[in-house]
Amino acid sequence: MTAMDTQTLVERFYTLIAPELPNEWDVEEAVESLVDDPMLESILAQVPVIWPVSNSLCYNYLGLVQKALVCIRESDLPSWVNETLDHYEVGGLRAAQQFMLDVERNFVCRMQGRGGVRLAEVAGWLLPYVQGLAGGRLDLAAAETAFTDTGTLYLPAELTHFDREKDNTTLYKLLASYQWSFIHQNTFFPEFPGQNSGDQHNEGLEHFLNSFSEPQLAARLYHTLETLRIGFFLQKELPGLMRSTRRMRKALFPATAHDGEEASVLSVLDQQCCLLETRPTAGMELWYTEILSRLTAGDAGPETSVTLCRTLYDRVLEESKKEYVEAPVLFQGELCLQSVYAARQRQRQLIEEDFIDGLSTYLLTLPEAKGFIEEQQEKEPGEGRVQGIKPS
Amino acid sequence: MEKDRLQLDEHRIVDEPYYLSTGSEIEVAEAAYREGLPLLLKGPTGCGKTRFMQYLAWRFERPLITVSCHDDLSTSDLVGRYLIRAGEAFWADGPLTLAVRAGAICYLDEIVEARKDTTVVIHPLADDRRELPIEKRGELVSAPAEFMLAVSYNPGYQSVLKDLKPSTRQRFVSLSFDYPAPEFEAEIVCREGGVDTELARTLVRFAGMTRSLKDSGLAEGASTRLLIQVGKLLNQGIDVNTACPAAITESLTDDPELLAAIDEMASSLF
Repeated sequence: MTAMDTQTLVERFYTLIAPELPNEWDVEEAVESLVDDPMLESILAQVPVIWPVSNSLCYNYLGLVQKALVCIRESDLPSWVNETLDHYEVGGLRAAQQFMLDVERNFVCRMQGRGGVRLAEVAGWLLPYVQGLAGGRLDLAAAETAFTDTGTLYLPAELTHFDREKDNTTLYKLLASYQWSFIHQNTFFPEFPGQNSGDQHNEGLEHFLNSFSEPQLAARLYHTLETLRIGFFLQKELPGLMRSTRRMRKALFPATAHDGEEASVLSVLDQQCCLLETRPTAGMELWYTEILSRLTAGDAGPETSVTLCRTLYDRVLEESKKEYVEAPVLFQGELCLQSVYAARQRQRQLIEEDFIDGLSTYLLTLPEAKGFIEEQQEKEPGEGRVQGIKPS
Repeated sequence: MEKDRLQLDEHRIVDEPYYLSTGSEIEVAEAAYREGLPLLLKGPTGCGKTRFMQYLAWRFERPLITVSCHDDLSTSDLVGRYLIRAGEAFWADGPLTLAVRAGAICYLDEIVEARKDTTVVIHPLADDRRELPIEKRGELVSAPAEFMLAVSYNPGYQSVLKDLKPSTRQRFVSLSFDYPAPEFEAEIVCREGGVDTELARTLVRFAGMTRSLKDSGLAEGASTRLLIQVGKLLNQGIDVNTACPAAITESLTDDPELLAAIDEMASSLF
């Protein structure tokens, strides 16, 4: 190919974007690698689609399209460009560039119905879904693992655990439903003897867990027991969800972790969190049969898990010295009590500030207040000033 | 006169309509009726306002004349107008006049949708005068003791421009309606929709979830009426996973994300 051919291509480019006239050296740089490309016509056909949206994006496209065509078919090029423009619309140039950079992961997997799902992609419907569950405001945010501070459900930014996109989407729903249930079922605020009933400002659970020699192990045990209780609750509350995720939940339990009679307490509990056997089965260990009856009883609550945690802790501690404690199953997420308490503290502060604002506004409307404020203003600045009350 | 009587007979409610009282609304309405006071029913769509009026009409043994108000509804549509037949002009009573003359119950559904001039005509009818002026005939019709005026509106989605004026509101005894408590609503769905208690409870739970979506842009959640419709589709052999989208989801919104969210709620519940 000669310099003339590049020039022809540049002129062709100008006709595609007419009447605009960008710098010739920019255009030449963008198209020169394409002169020999057998799919040149298909590549150029997308230029009038992208150029009016963003000139920079169009240059990026010309620079990346040949690499993309190694992974995708020529006939899929318009779809790839459309998805790129969708990303541009939502997240701007940076998001579109990110999308174009990894064609295999961002596009090919999706075209083949496999691959990960990002929280940003499902948040549009997942947020109203969780607000429907919660019966009011509840936010969603991305984090490394799933947890909640009771005001926001934090979920992984991307889920790639399953090959199929549909399964990863359902996994988001499962994670969100579990985190909502922890709030709904009062997991973070069990009542302890001597504590005022319904007091949600206590940090009793943290004190309880800190009373063990290994607080983290106790927290893992308590959280797992609560996950099991929540699982039984969800089976009643959202039976369709639990039915449709049975296979998925089973797949999330590591097959090597449970080895018949030798299985540790945490391993058995993790497995039951996935399987949710509600009836005792043959071979089920006696201690677990007892737990099953306690956690499925009508009056089961977080206090049940507190009691069971006390009962099982020593055994779990012994076992933890002998073998590695597996990470909890994915849909369980993490127990982040500090986030919960911090969120409650913020909420309390907001209520207090609202109350103070409301009270000061009311006080200022009283006839006595006007005289008082005038009196204060007549005094030297700073002398006898009442803090927090400003004349409106 | 014979024609009017036949016309009114069509509006009589012979069989007792199913109505589950959840408060003191029947007692209040009865007291208002005895004292000749008009009723204002407020509440979301499909929560039982119209059914309540049907029940009252049956209970008071009065014909119920319902007018569904719309933005083209004028005073003439309510009071009446001169018509031409065989070259001669004759007067035809509107539904309001018909109800006043016959001592029926006149129910103006979604009153704020009607043109503003209509509210003027109901003012003398809604206070202690209980009179309907028919300007075109120079006639003043006094309402008999049996007559009752009732209006309804939905505060949830009325705009400020379409709100009722205080001078209108303050003529009425107001009854605020809302979706019944879950146990009552399940009973209604069970009875009216012909579904078993367990399914009725799940449907009510579903409706409750959709009613929490105001912050997400859904003006109103699933009404009791929609739940009953699901029940009726189920009775005809339609699968629950088909009946819910058809009778609820698609009736609530066209927004793709809200549709997806409501579908996911249904698939989680059923």
